[in-house]
Amino acid sequence: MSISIIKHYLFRSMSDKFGLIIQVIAPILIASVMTSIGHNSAEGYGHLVDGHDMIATGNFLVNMLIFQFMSAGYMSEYIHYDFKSDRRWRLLATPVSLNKYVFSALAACIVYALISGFAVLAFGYFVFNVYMGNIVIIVITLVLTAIFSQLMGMIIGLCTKTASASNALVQVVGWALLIFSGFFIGLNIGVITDFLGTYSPFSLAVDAIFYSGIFTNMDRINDAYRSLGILAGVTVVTAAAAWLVVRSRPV
Amino acid sequence: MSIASMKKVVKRYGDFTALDHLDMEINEGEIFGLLGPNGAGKSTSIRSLCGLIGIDSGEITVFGQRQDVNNVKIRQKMGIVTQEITVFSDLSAEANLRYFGSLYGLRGRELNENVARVLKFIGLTEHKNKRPGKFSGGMQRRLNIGCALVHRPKLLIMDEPTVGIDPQSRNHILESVKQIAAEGTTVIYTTHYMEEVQAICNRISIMDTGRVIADGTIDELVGRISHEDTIRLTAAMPSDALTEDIKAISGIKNVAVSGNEYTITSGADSGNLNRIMEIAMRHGGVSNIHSDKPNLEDVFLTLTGKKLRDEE
Repeated sequence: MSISIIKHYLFRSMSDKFGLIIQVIAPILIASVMTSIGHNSAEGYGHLVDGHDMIATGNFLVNMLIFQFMSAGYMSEYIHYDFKSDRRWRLLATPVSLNKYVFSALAACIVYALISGFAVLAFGYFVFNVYMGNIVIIVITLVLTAIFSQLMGMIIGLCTKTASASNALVQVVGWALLIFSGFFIGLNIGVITDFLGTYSPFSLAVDAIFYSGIFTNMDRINDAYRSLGILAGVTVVTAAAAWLVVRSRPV
Repeated sequence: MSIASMKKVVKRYGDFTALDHLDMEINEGEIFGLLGPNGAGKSTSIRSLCGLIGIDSGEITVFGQRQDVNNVKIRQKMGIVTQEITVFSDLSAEANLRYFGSLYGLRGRELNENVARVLKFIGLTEHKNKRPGKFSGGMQRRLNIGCALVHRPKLLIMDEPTVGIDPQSRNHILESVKQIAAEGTTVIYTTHYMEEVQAICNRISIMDTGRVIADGTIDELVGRISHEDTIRLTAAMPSDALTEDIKAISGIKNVAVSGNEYTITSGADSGNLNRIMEIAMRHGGVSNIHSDKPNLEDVFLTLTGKKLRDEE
């Protein structure tokens, strides 16, 4: 990988104001509003545990994860703008190998997704006193979801013909992963939804964090490790799939 | 001394043969013009030469090394200016140059000096902090060229770098190319504008349908048809019958028609100007008629029977 290429893509991602709104401002705003609503409806029941705001904790952690999955759009867009446009001839003409270039771009998108995820968490922590629980598990989960999302973006970018089709597909896949996780809406419609409710990347990420002592006692820590392990496995499988797609659909 | 060569290069896309046993040799220090109409195979030749696409057969050598898609290191000494503007619109002019410089391994002081030098050369020092989206077409083209120069390439390949810009910017770019060559860089310049090639190139290859159909200096190429006249006629009422009647005149070698413009190649001093005039008058009259000394356009017309580019 090349530091200058990683810096280049990080700079481009960070200077994209619209992306910043979607990736950082939107989750903070949604989590803050939902927390306020939660505070009003939970009035009298109490929502503080050891001084931590548990309504905000749930909202910030879940929104941080939701927008991680939506960040797949970065990699898919760069695939289109840089490697599926006329610009690719210019980039291919440099002494940087294509693999090095693409994987540096991927690394930059992962780093950007991580930065935006940590920004959401930091806001929640400093403004709403969000409970971080097992910070190591949160960080590992965030890293795995960021890698998974950008790999997914890479596959979608390589398999679609236009940037707009790619963006649309990122949204469809992202929302499908969230909806079929059954986290927001109960979907008791069969084996597949039951399976996705447990094993979709979003479900695994939420379970890993929530079972790590945030909303449960530490007696479910093994469930957190199990979810984290499966999420790591899903990420490895996605990486293998991305590698196969790169080989079969060279830019 | 040869700096790059293509020998019997064949490149096919399915049933279409883009390069058909192409032979080309570029010597160190020259401005080599690659002239041909759209679809002649110029861009495919360039991409093959840069190792961006594989070839089906033949051999490409650059700087004495065999060129292929895996020979990444050889690109260190090459610069390419693509037909399309490929700079990053979300980066400033300076950041674009810095990034391309870094891709060629420039760092620190060397990068700073080269970026400053190129900004001055392309006349964008005062605009270095602006993004290309705010630039005119000519300024964007200059930045596109600058990004190929920042690492001081020994071989600069320019693929139709003046497409779609105003004459003033075009002249600026042509002067820049001469200056780049004067500083020791070998330049390959592809275009379908004959005037550009005549203005800057030492040697020219004319391409059509994936092959080089003629090469040499401008004088050598024009000398090939100095025994011919080019008669340009603007007919009041162009028709197939007029075309056929002109073709039937003894000594007429080729007739190309574009709208009401006729470009006729005739044997030199054949007296055909008057005969053509008479025939055209019988077919509805003539708005304009004159005879020219042959130029590269005529060379192309004589060799292929078609014009170098469509009327714009």
